[in-house]
Amino acid sequence: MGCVSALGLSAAATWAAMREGRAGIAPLSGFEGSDLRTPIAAQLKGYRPTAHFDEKRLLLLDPVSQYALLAAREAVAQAGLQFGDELAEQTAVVIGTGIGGASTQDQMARRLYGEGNPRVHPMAIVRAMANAPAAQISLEIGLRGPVFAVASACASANHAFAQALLLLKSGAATAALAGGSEACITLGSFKAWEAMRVLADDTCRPFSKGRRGLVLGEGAAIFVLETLEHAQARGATILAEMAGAGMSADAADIVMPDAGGAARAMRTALAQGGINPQQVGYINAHGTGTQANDPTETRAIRAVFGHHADVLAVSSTKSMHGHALGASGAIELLAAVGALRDGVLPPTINYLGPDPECDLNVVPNTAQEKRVEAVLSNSFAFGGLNAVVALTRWG
Amino acid sequence: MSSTEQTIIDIIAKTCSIERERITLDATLKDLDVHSLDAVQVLFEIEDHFNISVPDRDDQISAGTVRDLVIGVDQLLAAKGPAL
Repeated sequence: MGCVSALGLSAAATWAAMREGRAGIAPLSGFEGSDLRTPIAAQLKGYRPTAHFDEKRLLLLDPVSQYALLAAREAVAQAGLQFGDELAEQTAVVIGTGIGGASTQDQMARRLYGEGNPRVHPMAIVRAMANAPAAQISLEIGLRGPVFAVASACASANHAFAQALLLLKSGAATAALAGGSEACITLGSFKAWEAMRVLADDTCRPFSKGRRGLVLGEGAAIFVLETLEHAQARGATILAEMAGAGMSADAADIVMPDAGGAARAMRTALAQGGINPQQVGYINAHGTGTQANDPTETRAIRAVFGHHADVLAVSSTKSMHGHALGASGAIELLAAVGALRDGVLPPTINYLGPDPECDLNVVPNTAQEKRVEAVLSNSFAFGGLNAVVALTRWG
Repeated sequence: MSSTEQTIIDIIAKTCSIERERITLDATLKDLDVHSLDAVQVLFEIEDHFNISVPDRDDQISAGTVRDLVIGVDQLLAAKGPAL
């Protein structure tokens, strides 16, 4: 697995920060002088593009692709995969992104409409396209299997995992690099989120009383998925088993979440993985910190788990790494894997006290130590699109 | 009817497809079955028309009656100073 997030520029640094309950949310940087109502975000810290890419290559890479490449490099190195011709042709790349090359779109619009400059950069199209992160990974590593992007807003990464799992199960691929990337912190998209009036102006407090909304984040996380047969044949260190992925749509409202649709995605993930609800010890919640999501997600969890909802732990790590939209499910899968491997359930930080409508063990403010056998990671997107991934402990 | 009042009622009617006659000063947006996404669009149209910024979570404006909304907008206009 590989990751860059507001919590660190590697998977290990991000997970270490999650365990410790560290905040990645900070005053917004880079937009000084802009008239913003909610100038906070979870931005990468200390990231210098030229430390990772030469200048010629950077002309081709929107930040959304840069982040994806860094996460993919780390994931492949950690997995110890060597791609010979045969494996390269059997390896898929499935990368979710909610927006794609937002910076490129923003810069192009500023030049064209704002500055009256009629010349658009000739690489704008290949930087901005939503499949750029997947394509750039394929190009850099030489992966020649099924390569495509998945777009379902805030559920993109979990939908990407679900697609990769289907490819492996069907035999269409032996291995896959799957995850999500998002670089959505541009003035244009920030203003658009502000206009929806769902951004918090203090910080992100999922499931807490006094919560005031979501906080935008950015980053990428990518995982190497492979068939059990392939992993065992090469002697891989197996981090966890991706047991199931449930997908559903609410068909109800473009923005308001629906507990029924969310519950159906969780039930499908469990059923597909052959997991009894009582086996689940931890859920990494979608937990955006908005008025609408958190009570709806609580009702959905209670509908699926019944009394077991009083026992299992549910936290939202978005309180630390913000809401990285199409990358969020992937960054959050780090938390799910970490919980299984280390027996540490990362907290929901910034928690001020209970909201009766969110009556779950939300692991307030401090991580809890508990051995868990199975975990879920929830993502629910605008459009009423839900994707839930179920992982089980390996070994 | 003040021009602020007339404009706001026009905006609610158009944005939410509500008959103008139903929109009384004593009605809240909730009474008028205006859902949150429509309410956000009403606030956007008001901001855009009057060139003001309506703060987030201003309960007088977002949860009050149409009259409260008119008073809130008039206050924001007064704070902005006379039109040039």
